[in-house]
Order: sequence, then C-alpha cells, then structure tokens
Amino acid sequence: MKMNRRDFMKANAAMAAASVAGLALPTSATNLITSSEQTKLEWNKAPCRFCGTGCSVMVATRDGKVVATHGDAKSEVNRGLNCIKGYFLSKIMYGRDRLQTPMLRMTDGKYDKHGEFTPISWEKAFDTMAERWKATIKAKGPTAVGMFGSGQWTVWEGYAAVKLMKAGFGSNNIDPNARHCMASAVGGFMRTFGIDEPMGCYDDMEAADAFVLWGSNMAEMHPILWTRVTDRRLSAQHVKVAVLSTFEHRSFDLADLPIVFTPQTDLAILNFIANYIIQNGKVNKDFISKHVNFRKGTTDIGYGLRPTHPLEMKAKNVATAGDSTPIDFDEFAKFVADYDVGSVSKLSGVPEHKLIELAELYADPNRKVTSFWTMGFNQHTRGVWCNNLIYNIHLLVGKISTPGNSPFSLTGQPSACGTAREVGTFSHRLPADMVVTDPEHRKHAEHIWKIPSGIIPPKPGYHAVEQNRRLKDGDLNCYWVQVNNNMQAGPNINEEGLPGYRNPENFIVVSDAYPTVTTQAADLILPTAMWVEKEGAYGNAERRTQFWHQMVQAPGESKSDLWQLMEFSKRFTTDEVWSADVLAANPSYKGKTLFDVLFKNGQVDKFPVSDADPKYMNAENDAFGFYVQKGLFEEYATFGRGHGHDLADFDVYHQEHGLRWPVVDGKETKWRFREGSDPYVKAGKDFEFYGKPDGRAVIFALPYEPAAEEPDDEYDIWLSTGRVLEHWHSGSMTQRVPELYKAFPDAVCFMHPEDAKKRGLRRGDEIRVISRRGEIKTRVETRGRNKPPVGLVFVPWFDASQLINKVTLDATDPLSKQTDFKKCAIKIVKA
Amino acid sequence: MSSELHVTSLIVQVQPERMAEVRQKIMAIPNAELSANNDVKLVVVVEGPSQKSLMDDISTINAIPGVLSATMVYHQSEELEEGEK
Repeated sequence: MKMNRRDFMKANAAMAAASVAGLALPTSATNLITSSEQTKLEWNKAPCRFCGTGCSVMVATRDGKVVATHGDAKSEVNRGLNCIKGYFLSKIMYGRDRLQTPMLRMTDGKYDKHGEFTPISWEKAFDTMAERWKATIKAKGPTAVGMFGSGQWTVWEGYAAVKLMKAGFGSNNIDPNARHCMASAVGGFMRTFGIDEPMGCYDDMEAADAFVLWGSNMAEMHPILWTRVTDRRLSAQHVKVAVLSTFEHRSFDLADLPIVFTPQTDLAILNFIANYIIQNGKVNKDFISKHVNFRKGTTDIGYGLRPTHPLEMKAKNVATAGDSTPIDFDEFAKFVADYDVGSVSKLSGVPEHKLIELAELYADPNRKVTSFWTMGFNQHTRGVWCNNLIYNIHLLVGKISTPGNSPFSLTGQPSACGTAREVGTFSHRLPADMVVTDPEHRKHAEHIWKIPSGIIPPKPGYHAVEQNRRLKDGDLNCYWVQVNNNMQAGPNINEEGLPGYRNPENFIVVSDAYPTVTTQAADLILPTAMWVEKEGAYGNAERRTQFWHQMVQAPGESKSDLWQLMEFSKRFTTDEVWSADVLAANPSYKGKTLFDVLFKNGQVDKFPVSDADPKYMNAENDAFGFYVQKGLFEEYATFGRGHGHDLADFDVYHQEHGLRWPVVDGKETKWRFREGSDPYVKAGKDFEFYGKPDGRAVIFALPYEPAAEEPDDEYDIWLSTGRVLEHWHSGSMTQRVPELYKAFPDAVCFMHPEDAKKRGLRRGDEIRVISRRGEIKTRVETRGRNKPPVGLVFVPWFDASQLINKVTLDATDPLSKQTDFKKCAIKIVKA
Repeated sequence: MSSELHVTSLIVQVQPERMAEVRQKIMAIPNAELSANNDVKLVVVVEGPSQKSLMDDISTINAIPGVLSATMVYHQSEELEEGEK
C-alpha cells in the first residue's frame, strides 16, 4: 500500500494515540517506516514546567531550537498523554516579547525610581543592586532585605536562594508564592503527621473504589490525572465519583454525586462525616487505638489580617492560634455530635440525602476511597483546619497509606513540593522539614552549610502577604522577585502590593522571562533563562523527583535564576553582612565573599565539569568551572538522607523517569507509613506515623467558624476566583501562546442567569465588580463551563488587564498565612 | 505556493451511554476522522491548515455533551509542497 505524506502523518498520529489508549488498529495502519524528517530531531525527556502533576514530556530540538513535544510514553505519570498546556510547551520560550537584557529605571543615565526602563549590562545591574543591598543592611540590618520566589524554581535554584538569604545575608525574609497555594497543605501535614507531603501516590487512582474532590476542578486543572480517574470510573461500574465545590464546573460531568455548598461550610460537612462514621459504628477501633492521638485545637483565631483590622481586634486567640490540648475519643465524639445531618444541611445548602451518601463513601468498610483537594481547601482562612479535618475522616476509618485509600493533597506548581516545600524556601523553614525556630535544626543546617553558628536568625521572616505589608510600611526595602508574577497573583494589590513596590524607599528587582505587571512595578528587571534553557530538577505532588538537561541556549543575555543568585553573591564579603561578633569568633571567614562561603565551600564545588554529560550544554558549568547542579543537589540531599526524605544519587535521576522519595537502597517508596511499603516503618508496627515522636497521627477537634467576609445588604454576592484550563500560573507564559490565548482570551465573570436578571444584566454586558477594596471592569457570562449557583460569581485571575486581585481580601489562614482567594463579598453594577 | 498541514491525534473519553451520539457528532466535523475505539474511548485524528484550526476542532469536540475529556497525544506540522495533497 502506498501512502502519501498526509496519510502517513495521520497514520502516525492515530497509531501514537491508539497505543497510548491501549486500543488496536487495523494492521495496515501500523506498518510504518521511519520518517526522514523525524530522524533530524533530537529527542530528550523533561518534566512539563506547568503544573504539579509532573508529566514527563519528550522534547525535540532542531538547530538549537525546541520544535516539538509529545507525552513521554515511558512516564508512569502521564503514560504518553499531554494536556493542552503541555502540548504547547515548545512555544512558551519563543514569545516575541521575551526579555533579553537587564533593564533599570533611569533618567539622564542614572537610576531613578520614576525613570524609564533602560537596557544596561549585567555588571551595572548587579552593581546597582549590591549598592542598595549593602546600604540597607548597614542602616537597618538583614530584616530589611527580602526575596520572593516560587514553586517553579528548580530544586537547586530554590536551594541556592535559601542559602543566600538565610546562610549568607542572615535573613529569613524569603518566601515562595507557594505560600498562596500550598501553605495550608503543609500546615495540615505538619500538624497531623509531623512530616510533609502525601503518603500515597498516583497509583491510588487505579485502586480506589471512590473519589471525592474537595474544592478541586481536576478536569481543568489536572487534566492528565483526571483522565486516569475517568478511566477508573468508566472501567469499573462500582466506582463512584463525588465532586464538591461552591460552583459547578467541568469535573461535575463525571460526578455520580455532585454537591454545591455554601462557601466556608466545608468545615461543617467534614465534621458531619466524622460524626456519621462514629454514630454508625464505622470507626476502625483497632487502627485508632494503635496509631492515633486526639487533640482539641484553639478556636476563634482571627483571619490573618493586619493587627489593627477590627476582625483581628475582635478575635480572642490570635496569639495562640496553633495551640491544642489532648482529649480522648469520647470527647472528640461529643465535639462532632453537634454536626448532625439536619443542621449541616441547613448551613451548607446541601440536601440531607447527599450528605449521607457522601459520608457513606467514607464509612463503608468495603470501599477504598481517595480524596483530592487543591485550592478550595488551601486558599481558605481555615485551610489548615480543612486539611486536618479530612485527615480525621481517613484516620477514623483507617483508610490511609494503602493502595486506593488516600487523602491526597494535589499541588499547583511544578515544584511546589520538590523545591518550595522540600528545600524549605519558606520564611520559617529549612531543608527537609526543619524550622528556623528550633535551635537544633539551625545548628544542623549551619553544620551542613559550614557556616558559623548564629548566622541563621531564630525568628521566622516575613511571609508572602506580610512582605507586601512591610514593603508598604517601609520596613522591607530591598526586594528580589524570581519566577513569579506576584503583582497579579497577590491579594489586595491596590492597598498593599503596588504601594509597597512603588514606595520611594524601596528598590524592587524582578527576574522574569517575559514582561508582566510585576516587572512593570519593578525598578530593575533581569532577563531569565527558562525550562530547558538550563539544567533542572522538579519534584511533583507524589514525591517524584525528576531531572532534565539543558537542551537549548537562552536568548540574548538571559541567564538562569541560579546564575543570577550565585553571581550576585560574589558582590558581598562576610564583613559587609555578618556581625563583628560572629567574625571575631570565626576569623577564618573574614574577608571571604559570600560566593566563597556558600558555593566554593569544598562541597558545592566538589564535582568537576567533566562529570556532566558532554552531550548537553550547561551554562552554569561554563560560568563557574564546576558541576554546579550536582554539587548543590548532593549538599542539599545530605539534609534528608537518613531522615525520611532520602533522595537518590544525582546521576540516577538523569537516567530514570523520576523516583518517589524516600529512595532507600535504590528503591523508591510508593506508600509511606505502612510496614512493608515504607522502609522507615519498624517491623511489627503495621502502620507508623514516624513524623510524630510516638508514631501516632493526630485527629483534631476543630469547629466550623464563619468566613472573614460574607455577603451583606450592600456587598450582596460571593466572589470566588480561580483558573481555567488554557491558562496556568498568572498567564505570563500561556498567554504567549496564541492558540491558548485565543481559546480563552479575556477573563469574564461567570454568573447565574437569575443573578444577572435581578441586576438588569444580560450575557456580554460590561459590569463593574466592586468590593470594599477596589474594583475591576469585566463582562457577564451566564453560560459556559463554570456554572455558579445563585449568590456567587466566579472570575478567573489570569487576565492582566482585569486584575481581580484589586478586589480580593488579603485575609489569610492565621496558621499557614495563606490567602483566601475563594471568598469575599462584592457587588456588581452595570458599567 | 506551499501550505501547512497540521495533524494531531486525540484520545477522547466518553460516557458509554452517549458513545453513539458522540461518534455521530465527531463524524460531522469535516477535519476530524474516527479511528480505533472501545465502549468508553475514541481515537480521533484531526487535520487542518493551522494550529488554530486544530484548536477550534478540539474545542468543538470537548464541548460535545457526553465527552468527559479530549487529550492530545501527537502533533506534527509540515510544509506541503506545490501540487502535494
């Protein structure tokens, strides 16, 4: 049979899809020859740089440019599939407006906060920065310098950043935008289990008999994982899917049990389920007697607003928000007894029969259940509580750490786990779950980093929201933002964010690959290499660490964040940043640069360039003369090895399609805390939650408390914000891809037709969305894939021309400091 | 004059009870072609002169009632030479 080129391409495409889907094709279509075009392409693996799923993609380069991508069939995560964002990965680096040179606001050749952005050299950029940093540290100390990064930093970039800030400048003012995304999840893990990140893995999806989505639109946000859930649901008739949200979205298409609830009442629903399990005798008594402690948490903890805010003044227990006291099972049972089906149904607006059906999924001992959640739980003024309460349910019935029984916190960013959390780029954290407040942890970190004791401050630095407030107040004056678009993503930017960046006392540096509203608010812009323009490593939501090689060169003068951090450290000597006392006690450090102390310390510079695979380029090795990534990774890995966070040897990850930690004796761990599956569980224990000293997880008694702001007569409707499939992050990359932009060009306000009618509005009308803090203009959408109930509207946040965060409230979870972007009160009027 | 040819393949997950009507609707899309399937999954090959045209067809398929997901697997684009079909 003779094929023309069109037939050949189509047959090739069909075969690829059929093999991924496990379907058979007629033999004529499979009889293919190798295309000569194909052989000109150089294919390599890399994890996708968009979301926390951690799909592996094959990336083709030709003549120094990425030209094609497809799903990696050898990847256990995505098995050859690729979502619409991953499909366009090859285009994200080639937007026409890519930044290519450092730019400083200048007037008449000199820095001027009100000047125009003017191209300058790296030399001049770093000179200007260092001058400001030094003067500020001298005048006000290290708490006046800060850094804001993200879960898109590669592992070694986040690690270098933490080192520079905490071990170099002696400042804990470093936080990632993962604070807006995952901080409540981390808080929940630490409080319940004493160790971060999910115990299960994606293999749970093929083993579960029921899936419950709590405030997660997986169909759009984690589409590849959703195809696995869908496969499981369609291939086994008994499998049930429950979807809970404050509005109807795409994931409801697959739901056997669709539930729309009033914002904030998830707390009550979670307690109702615990109560139902107890009332119906479905508690796994053996499990809780051996593996669980009960505690009662402090209540009335405020809303993480400024201390002068009336709500904070009114709250009784702001200072002791994280405290708890031991109780027993009977006291816990009594505590949740108030959450009966009748009152919870009334509060949440969910019919009683649906609540019971939901509770039964968890209660039924013969049903393996996996719970998924993302921002609905995490971006919540009681986000840590929500996380605690879902673990309560899984622990009460012992449905945890076994295949299919899995409370699973999904992540948003590609390395929210691998970098932000594991490396510890938070203001209170150190690598491997350690914290700055613990003197032993500080000592251990200082020992590994080979720095004098007393450099790491014991007090946590400013967290994300606090950073904006301190910039505005003039307490934080030198500020470096990398890999994120905080001016769009942060809350309440009208009153806190923008005034902070434009405060004349402050100098703001933003590293990015593209112009964003954040670069526009900066004083100095640094052009940044992205994704396969550098060697990288990410860690996904199931503890899987994945590496990639540098495949192409970054355009113009763009440099990786890693190069920027290391090069900047050369500008400082210890005498300029450390106290005279420390240097007097440790004279051998005197006069050394921070680069010498942090990176040329005999560990990070241990591996020669010749260790790197000569097939690939490596801009950092060329610049510094040693295998930078390997040295940083190996030093970092010493924090976790032997402590439940074991990573494999550096070189292994370039061969494997990712490994899930702890990796002990070369073997990855799929389910933690269970004997036989997790090497850290001692023989005879069955289960062991070894993050806690006594090996027991904690069930917390925590109540429903109202939201920080609820609709009233004037601001009469709930606002929820979120994402759409085609755009990820704040749209700073996805909007560079014309096809993605066209698929969903401008943000709209999704609204129930009755709410529109009540306000005299029609689909397409221009409206003003107004809160007590600010307003935006947008258009009414009464159809489409997001269907809010009466009383709530949904506005996606990717659109830089309609900054919805002028409207949102900067209320945070007092425990995690994570912002609640999901609920505030607004009014809507015709523009 | 040369022109571009873009080809992509999709795996479409479908509610089994609506499989027949979903297949009918996809067959009505001029640039889409049905390939292998079972009772819950379809392979569809879409071709067109631009990525935009592929995207439009993919959006159309995604919006068909009963379609749970449509996920891309493979994409290739070529410049066609004069006279080539």
